[in-house]
Amino acid sequence: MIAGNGPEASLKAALGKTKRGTKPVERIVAELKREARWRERIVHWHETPERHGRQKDFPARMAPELIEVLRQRGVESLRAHQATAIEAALDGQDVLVATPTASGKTVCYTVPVLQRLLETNGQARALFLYPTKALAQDQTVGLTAMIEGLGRQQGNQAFHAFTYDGDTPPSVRRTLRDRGHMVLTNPWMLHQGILPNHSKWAELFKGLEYIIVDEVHSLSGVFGSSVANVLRRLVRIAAHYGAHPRFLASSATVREPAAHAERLFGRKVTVVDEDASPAGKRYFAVYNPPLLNPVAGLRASALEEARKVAKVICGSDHQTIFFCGRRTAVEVLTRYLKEGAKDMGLKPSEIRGYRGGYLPNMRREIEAGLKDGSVKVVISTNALELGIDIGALDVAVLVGYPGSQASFWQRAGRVGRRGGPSLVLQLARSEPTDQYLAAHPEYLFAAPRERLGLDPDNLVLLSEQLKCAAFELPFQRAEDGTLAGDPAFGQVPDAAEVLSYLAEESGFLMERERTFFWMADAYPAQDVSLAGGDLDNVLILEQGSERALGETDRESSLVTCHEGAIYQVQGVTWRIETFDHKNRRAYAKQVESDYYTEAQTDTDVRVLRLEECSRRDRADYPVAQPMPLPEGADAFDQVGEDTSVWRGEVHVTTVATLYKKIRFYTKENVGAGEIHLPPEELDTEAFMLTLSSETAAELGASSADGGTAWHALGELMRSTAPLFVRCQPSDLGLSTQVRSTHFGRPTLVLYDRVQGGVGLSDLLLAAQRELLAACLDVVQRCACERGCPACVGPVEEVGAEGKAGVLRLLEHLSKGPALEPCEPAELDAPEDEVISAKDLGPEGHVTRGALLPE
Amino acid sequence: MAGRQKNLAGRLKRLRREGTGAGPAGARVIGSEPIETAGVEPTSANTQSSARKFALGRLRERLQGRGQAYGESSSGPRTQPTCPTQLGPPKDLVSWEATHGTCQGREALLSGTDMHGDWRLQEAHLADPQALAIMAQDPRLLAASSGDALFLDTETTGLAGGTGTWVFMVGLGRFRPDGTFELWQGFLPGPEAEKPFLHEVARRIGEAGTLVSFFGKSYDQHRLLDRFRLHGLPSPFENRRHLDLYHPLKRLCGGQGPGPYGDHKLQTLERHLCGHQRVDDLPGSAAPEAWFDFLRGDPHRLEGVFHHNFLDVLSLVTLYGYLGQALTGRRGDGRPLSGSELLRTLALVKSSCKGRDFSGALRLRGAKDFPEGPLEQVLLLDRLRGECLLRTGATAEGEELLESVHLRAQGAEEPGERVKRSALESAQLLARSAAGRQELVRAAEAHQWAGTWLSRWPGLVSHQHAQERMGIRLDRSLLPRPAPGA
Repeated sequence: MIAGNGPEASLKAALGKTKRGTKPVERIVAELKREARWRERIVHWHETPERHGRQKDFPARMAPELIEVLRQRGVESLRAHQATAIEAALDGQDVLVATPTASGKTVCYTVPVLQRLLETNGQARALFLYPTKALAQDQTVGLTAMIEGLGRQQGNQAFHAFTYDGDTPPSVRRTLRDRGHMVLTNPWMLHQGILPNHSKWAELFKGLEYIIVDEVHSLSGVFGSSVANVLRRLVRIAAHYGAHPRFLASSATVREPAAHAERLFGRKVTVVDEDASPAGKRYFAVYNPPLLNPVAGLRASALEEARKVAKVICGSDHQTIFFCGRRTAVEVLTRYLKEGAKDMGLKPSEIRGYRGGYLPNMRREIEAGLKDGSVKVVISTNALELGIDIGALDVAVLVGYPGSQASFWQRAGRVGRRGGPSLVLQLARSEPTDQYLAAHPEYLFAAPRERLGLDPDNLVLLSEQLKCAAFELPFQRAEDGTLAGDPAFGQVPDAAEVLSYLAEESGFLMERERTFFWMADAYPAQDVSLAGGDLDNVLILEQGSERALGETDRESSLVTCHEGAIYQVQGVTWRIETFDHKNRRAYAKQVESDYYTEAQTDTDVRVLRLEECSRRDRADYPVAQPMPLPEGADAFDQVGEDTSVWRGEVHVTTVATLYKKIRFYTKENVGAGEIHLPPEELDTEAFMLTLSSETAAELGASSADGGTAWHALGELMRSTAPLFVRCQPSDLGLSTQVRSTHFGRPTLVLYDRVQGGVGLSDLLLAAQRELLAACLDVVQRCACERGCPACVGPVEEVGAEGKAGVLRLLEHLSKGPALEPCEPAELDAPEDEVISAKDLGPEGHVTRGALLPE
Repeated sequence: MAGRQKNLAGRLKRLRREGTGAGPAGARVIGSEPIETAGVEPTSANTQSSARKFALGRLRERLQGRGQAYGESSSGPRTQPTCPTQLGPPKDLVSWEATHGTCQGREALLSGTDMHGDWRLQEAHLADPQALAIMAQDPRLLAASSGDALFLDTETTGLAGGTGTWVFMVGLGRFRPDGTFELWQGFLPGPEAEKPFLHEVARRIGEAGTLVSFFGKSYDQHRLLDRFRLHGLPSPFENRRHLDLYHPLKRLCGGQGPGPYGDHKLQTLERHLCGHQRVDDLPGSAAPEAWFDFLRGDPHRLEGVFHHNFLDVLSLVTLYGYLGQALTGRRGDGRPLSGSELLRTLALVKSSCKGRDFSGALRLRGAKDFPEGPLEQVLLLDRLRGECLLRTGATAEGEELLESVHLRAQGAEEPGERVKRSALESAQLLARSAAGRQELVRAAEAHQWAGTWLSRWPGLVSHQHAQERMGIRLDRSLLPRPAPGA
């Protein structure tokens, strides 16, 4: 963690250089730039020069013995940002350090903690939260080494750092609770183990001064929103014991880190984001596999290209890491590279795969091999993305865009830590995001553009977390009926009402003398998942033996668990025999099937409430080349609305209607069946895009072909959204209509697939313009003629005119004047269920929905 | 505001998918067991919670034994127990002002001659502290007496623990100097009244010399401690003698495995050992709901909880008396204790050995007192006695007894696993003793017997290691050393 910062590290790098003769990275870069076959594939080079760090003296307040420990570990002075962060933390501020990987963030929060331990003679306590178990264990080792350093010096009381996770033996837990000065754990253990049993942890809470939250950029979506509530519970329990801890957080570079931290912690934080660490020269290359079939837009497989380029970038005098998206890809590529080891001058044993699911011992062994240099090539999933210490490698290959800028930089940060030159190769797949990045590599290097979705006040998550909080300590209402006196939930809108609901309707709580008491024979944290929705998942079991085969979420169960569906696990086919819808279980029988099934669903989106809107008029931006009108029709006037975007609450009903049996390989249709399942209901928030009928007609979006293009546009927006909103395409649901029942005209709805929504619609509304421009760019630049998977979808799906149709829509929508915010109620809302925000707000003032933070 | 609140409730109901019939989230949380998520990537949370669920399931089984009367072993049709119901608040509830507010509870005075099952309460006075100390493997209990004992049993709102689990009833029984038995049941009439309730409970526990409970060290004590800590009360359990009857009674009735009384639950034991058959008992698992009902203004089952708790405390008294007679095997009037005396003797010898009191173990009866006993129990007893003899210096006698274990096992037709184990261990002990006296030939002979037994029963790792070590030792001593330089 701290090793690799100071002169010790540069010494190591210098030794490395002399021993290896010419620097391997420079040699590889030269070869990639020289050879024609690589030159045509690498579409972009980007270089960042070597940078000297800015140093600062140790803060005056730091104890000499602590400075001595750092010196022993090769840290002679601090980098400027480290010193700033440490001073702010010791000053009692909440601090977020948002600097790139390898900039020495660990020091920023270990030093204040150790300093306070020394100052309080071991009375202070700190709780460290890491997103994974492995990371917590890794960091415990580092902390323990520092503590031992302190302990060797005279007269200091021994401090203890412990990992607390599911593997901690019960015999150790008691010691840890009473004597652990620093407890390193993860959000799940905090949620299910520590907080519900806080009285056992009284020693920790009484002295709690710092809560360290590592890698906060990974806390978004449902998980992040749940963790934000777990942190509220933590602050509340600490306050009960008289402690008011500060947050020390670290993050990869993200957009608006302060705003994200504020939503996560519920308070303002001091952001330190100037990176003053030294860095070696870095080369970035964006590699686009060659087009095999320009008409179909088909490119060579990224995995196959990785195998080819491996011959150049792997070798015995340096270390290379490959990042793949899926576990299967890791296995396949590992096999390929081991087979070709000889060509690279390597032994197969020097090439290792690494992913979740490997046994811990094997993982430790590979990590050690990477650190001591005996492993030359590692192929990993995102398992090696977070801060596990594997030392600094030389070359990183990203097989496909990892889905977020933060992830990209985390992965890139795995190389070049020693100050020597390094190379990052981004390999593009045939997907809209990857192809967009191949055309716009500057996106990767510019300021972060993704917005992190976080909504701790989502009613579903909030109500589940309030249950857990009430179990831990009763809630007290103030005189005015609110929770104003509560140290953590006091400012949360609706919290008091949710508690009333839990008392009156659900019966978990009981209100007496203005206090809500937990009153149920249950341990709520056990049933509340941080990832959301788990309780509703459908378990797929083998008929008879009840052996679990797999699990699927509520919405997907409609298309994967209906009777007659073929369920595939690792190449084995199972047929679903019965689906016990009520008990969320499906029973399957193993069959030899030469076909798979594809279910068709009807999704109906009903608008319940519109909360925000932006629009523009036709007069502001007439359609450039209107489609020819039918014979004899009059041209449309340039009045009224052109297009509008909305955000609001929707009710989504999905019904599975029938399924088709499709033969493997030939894809011929060999039968069909009906599906009889109750519809799935989802109440959530959505982003909506509409066109006025006139504009739609002029853009050709009201015809049947136009409907296909309209839908293809939706799919494209969904797959491109992760460039601007931190999410996976699968987090968004899509529904398009040429004539919406609500708006009466073409409407495209992208909805948050989490019950209640976690703020994605809000972010989409804010990012819609950027998103549409990126979509246009993808389609324009794509080499295919009539559509391919890398842009609007294959021609079989979008039709011969699909690509042209989408282009026409995008040309109009992404250009011209920006849309102006307006009041949602201006549009006539025909259905009587619709409650516009106007009806709710006081004095006609438009209020935003209760679900979203202001 | 009111309209908005109503609107929010509606939205919550919709969002939480409650009351729609299709998998209401709330209802599932309370009632059914959550689905095990097998087949998915095990996150720390998953592994943690499934281990927890497993542990909870076991705990639940064990504790529900206190509530579910009429165990599996009884044949004949099971009758659904009914429990007393009542209208209105619990009867005879008294309130009094304590230091921290009003307390509520109920107190009953029983005569020492009152019967519970076929035992009189005062038989607890005859309990021999030595028997308690041996069986509980806790020498501090040598100072215990029925006069300073406090019999404790709690009723809680759940088995999972955590700060949201309430202790709402604490039954505490003790003998007064005049010989009467006082059974106090502290009751928590509502969550807001917890402080005085806990102070009173802590005060009473603090006055006890010895606490007597059933599974209390593992359960009741922790639930109470959670509540005490929450209110900043110091632990009254610290440095206090605590006799948890569960483990010693389990040992006494056949140890591990399925003993004659199967589950070792309180109600099974009280039935078999003290002849108490419950009627109209409210199952312990229904207690939380009974209290919640009471809090919501419907006290109909609360009387049942009081009754149930009352009987539990009385059973603690009689089982305490039973355990205290383990050494004599006789009750005060000379009648033998129910249950197998041989098993009891075995348990006593084992517990004494565990406490390294070998001469004490030898004062207990031997196998010759049980001519009719099952071979496996008789041989185990003699193997234990043989070891005690060796350890107390009676080498010849010990070796003779151990050899006889081996011979009797050899003579057995189809010896069971436990017989083979006793024979193997006897032979190994014998070999070690003989080798220690440099009687190498005799040691080698016994070592060979042990080898034969090992071939018939694979033994545990410790047995195999012992065998290997002895083999090496004998080889070194018996074989001529190679000439230097050869």
